[in-house]
Amino acid sequence: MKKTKKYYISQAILITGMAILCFLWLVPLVYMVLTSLRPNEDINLNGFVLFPKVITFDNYVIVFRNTQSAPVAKWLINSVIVSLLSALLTVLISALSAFAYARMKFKGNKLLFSFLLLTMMIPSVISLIPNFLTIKSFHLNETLAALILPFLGGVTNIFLIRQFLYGVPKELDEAALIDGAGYGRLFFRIILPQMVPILMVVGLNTFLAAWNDLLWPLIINQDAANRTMTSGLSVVQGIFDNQKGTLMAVTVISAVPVLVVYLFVQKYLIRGISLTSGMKE
Amino acid sequence: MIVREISASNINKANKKKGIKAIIPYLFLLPHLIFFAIFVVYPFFYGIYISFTNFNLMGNPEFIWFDNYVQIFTFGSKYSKDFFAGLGHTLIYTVTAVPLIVFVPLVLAVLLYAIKNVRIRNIFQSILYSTSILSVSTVVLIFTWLLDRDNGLFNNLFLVDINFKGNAVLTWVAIISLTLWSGVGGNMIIFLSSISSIPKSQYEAASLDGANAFQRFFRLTLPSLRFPLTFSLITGVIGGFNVFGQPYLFGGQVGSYETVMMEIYGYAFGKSPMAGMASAMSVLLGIIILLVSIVQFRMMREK
Amino acid sequence: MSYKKVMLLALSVTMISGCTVTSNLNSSSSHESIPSGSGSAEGSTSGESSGYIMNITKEDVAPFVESPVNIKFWNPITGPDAGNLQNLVRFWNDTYGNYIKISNDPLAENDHYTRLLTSFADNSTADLTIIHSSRVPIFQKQGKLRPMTNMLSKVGIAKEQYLESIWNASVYGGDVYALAWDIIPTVFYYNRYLLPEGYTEEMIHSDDFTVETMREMMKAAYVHNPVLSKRTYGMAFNYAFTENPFISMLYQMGGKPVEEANPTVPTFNGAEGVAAAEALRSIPFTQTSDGYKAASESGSNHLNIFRQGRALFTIDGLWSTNSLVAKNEQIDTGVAFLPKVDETATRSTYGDSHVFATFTNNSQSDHKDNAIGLVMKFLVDNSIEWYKGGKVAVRNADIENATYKAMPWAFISQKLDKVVLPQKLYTYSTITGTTGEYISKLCEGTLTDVQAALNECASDAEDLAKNL
Repeated sequence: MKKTKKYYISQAILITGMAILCFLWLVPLVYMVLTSLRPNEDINLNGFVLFPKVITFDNYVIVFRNTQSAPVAKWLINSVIVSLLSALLTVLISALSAFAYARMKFKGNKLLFSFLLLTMMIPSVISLIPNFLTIKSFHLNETLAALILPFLGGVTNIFLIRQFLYGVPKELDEAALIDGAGYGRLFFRIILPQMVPILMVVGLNTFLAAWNDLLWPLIINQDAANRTMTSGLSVVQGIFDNQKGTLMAVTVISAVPVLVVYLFVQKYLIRGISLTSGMKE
Repeated sequence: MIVREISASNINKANKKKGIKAIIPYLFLLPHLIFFAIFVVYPFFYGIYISFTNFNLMGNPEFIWFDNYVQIFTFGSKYSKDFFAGLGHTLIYTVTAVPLIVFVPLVLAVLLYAIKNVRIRNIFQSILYSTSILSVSTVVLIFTWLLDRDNGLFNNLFLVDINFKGNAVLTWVAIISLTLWSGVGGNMIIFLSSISSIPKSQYEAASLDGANAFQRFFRLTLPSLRFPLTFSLITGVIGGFNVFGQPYLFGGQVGSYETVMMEIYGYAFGKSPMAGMASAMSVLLGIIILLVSIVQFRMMREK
Repeated sequence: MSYKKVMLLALSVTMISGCTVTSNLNSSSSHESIPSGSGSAEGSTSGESSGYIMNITKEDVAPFVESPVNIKFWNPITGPDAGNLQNLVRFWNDTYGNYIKISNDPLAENDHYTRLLTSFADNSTADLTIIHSSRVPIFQKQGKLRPMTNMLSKVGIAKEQYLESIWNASVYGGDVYALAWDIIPTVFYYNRYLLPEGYTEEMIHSDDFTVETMREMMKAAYVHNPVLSKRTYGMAFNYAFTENPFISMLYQMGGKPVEEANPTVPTFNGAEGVAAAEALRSIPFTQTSDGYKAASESGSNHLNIFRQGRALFTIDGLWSTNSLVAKNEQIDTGVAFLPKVDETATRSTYGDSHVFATFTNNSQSDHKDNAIGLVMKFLVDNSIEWYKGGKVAVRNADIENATYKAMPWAFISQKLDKVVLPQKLYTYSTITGTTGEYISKLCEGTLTDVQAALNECASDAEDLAKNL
């Protein structure tokens, strides 16, 4: 295509427009940071100020000193542990299961899998109270395990991985089995490396879902020390109600580590999400 | 650990009986099936059972048949009002936020694709997606402060006096805005990658045929997005019916923003716990979600 | 900075009873030593006082040196008064934390009760909790509360030290089920700087101060300014806090929320209730002569508005004093009783209490109970520190305390007959609890028919009470 004057003008308009949008997109984050640098007394007395006249890090000191009712550092660690373990365990368990459904011959394969698919239609809301009672009866409430285990029974991921496995040539299995490898070795040495793209998608989705979950952690882990960042933030609104600077400092602490990690892994993250689109076709 | 046992048993498999070989597949399934049984199958039936009792998280529940359901369908009763008001608010969210969360990313993806400089495009894409990784609590806290009546940036910068918590419509505008701010990124990336995978030659051919930008969009772009669009619509609708975090954290005028999930949470674990009633509401919401999904799948198949 | 403030305030504290603190307990360990001499008037002049009273001795905690305990302490103290409790807990933990550690875990009121109720499913309730006295009857009826009669008598907390009505409110069949720490009435705050001409502070405090007079003052104090943050309101109205003002006004009219003989029947929708709701609702709808609303609208932060000197009045709980009572360039706050509905009413207010409660749980033991007793004793001994965050005294000795008498709300203790306590009915908190939503809707204007709203509210309350 020839690059005409019209082409350059339209590109310029487009880029300017998107740049403005992206700038506006980041304004809430900037306002959050600016507020967190203002003393609470200043906010309470003077209200809105765009750029703080006095800058202080007191709010961050207040947050990190409060290790009883709002142990924010602990929440961050909890969130990381829960999200990582959820992702890893889900990937492993779902991959094992999907491999069996896709590649192994056993009695009831079709039947069992159809049953699994059927349960995909069950809305999870019905399980909320029973799962709460189950976890309590195992005495697992107020532990991080409570935030991980209930999600390991999910079916969607198995379905996705199984679909993906149909695209992996079956000859691989046959060759390996003829060579005398068992299913275990076949799975770990040969199939698992083939599944990496879909496992990345599953892991990523699980990680983000666990990171974002509010309702379940809110119900099952209520002690300050056992909350995640997401469920913890929902209680700080009450704790720092009249200390908006401190409240925003907590918010900054919840957002910045994620954004920093994002800066480094965004390439992989975006590639992973793009894969999701390929999955569905 | 389980895995290691499998490998060990497999090495010897040739010499062993066929019985062991028959067990192996089940060992692969076992880890999932355990959690599946405990956290998916059992709670489904138990949840339905609880909805027929007056269980209140303590003591022994009494079986009261359809009493909870009768109370919900006794129009004018507290439970009926709460459930149906909640359902109404949930629907408001679903019919407004869900189409937007598909439409806005679509527009953004098309605009981004139109930017020919890949570097600049990627920077924009990264910025627009960055807010999607923030948790719902973070987002709501930011927006609550941003939209604060007296001290918020929005009112003071634009010198307006909009009271986002003083009116049901404005509360929903705020909730949907923050949902979009934190939710368009994922769909945008998926759509963008789908659009990018359309061969350039097709576009060029269409251009040569004299198709303008709009025609190219409807003839080429949209059909290629059929699967991602329907998928995000379906997951969006199911998510919409389960909406809890945004309204729960943002708040608003009493009685103008509570969704069904909030009512279920409130009845199950709130002021005076009625897990039986909450379960009945869950079952009803579950049935609604089920019906909606069935209709959606049907429609998808017909297409 | 706030710590220094506490220190300074502490110096001026006159202690209730002479007490001694042994400081040799930790002398051999690396643990911080106990601040000494804080217990007497002499102590406060010595300059070394922390201001906190520590009557618990080395002998008292001796049993816990060998087997230390951790007291899980759940409470709903997250408001402006949270600091007062935090400092007390910190002082205890600095002193005896190695033997009896208090794990202070506060949550906002709704979350607090959610946590409490969900903990019943597996008996994992905390060792010590603070709840509202209006909740005691239902928990007592459900058998969730453990009597604390022995715990209290072991540490010398006795009926004679308390206001009789307050003590008796937690007694069931001769056993004490909760220990009140304070009374927290709903009050009326005013900013002296904004008093309009022709009106005086005496009028606000007089027994004849009605809602009507208050509205006139609101109109006079309202200043409209098109620039956003410069507007001055007649009242910074708290739309999320309507239940207590309504119940207060209901009692002013001689009404009651619940039928005593048949506690599942709400009675707040009678003529008294309608009058109360009409009066309360008239406040946010007060209009100035040029058509502006004299009160702040729903969605604003009433605390902020008042603190910034932009409102003559606000209605809130006494527990908000830390963020409302001050004398600076913007505000010079006074505290008064709620205005009365009309001439026929009595000027009174509803006042709940924070009470200590011990729930049955799976980690209870006599050993732990002894520790809980000591902790309660410590907290109660330091009631004056607690009252500073905006509380009315419940111990006879405290009412006469000079520091307490200097608090702007101490006058309430002289008019305790005007403070109505929650009724001892198991449905009480459930039935009054429904009113908040409806009264808020009336004040916001989303509901307009007062009688119809109250009737609907009463029917909701009956529905809920049925399932108790």
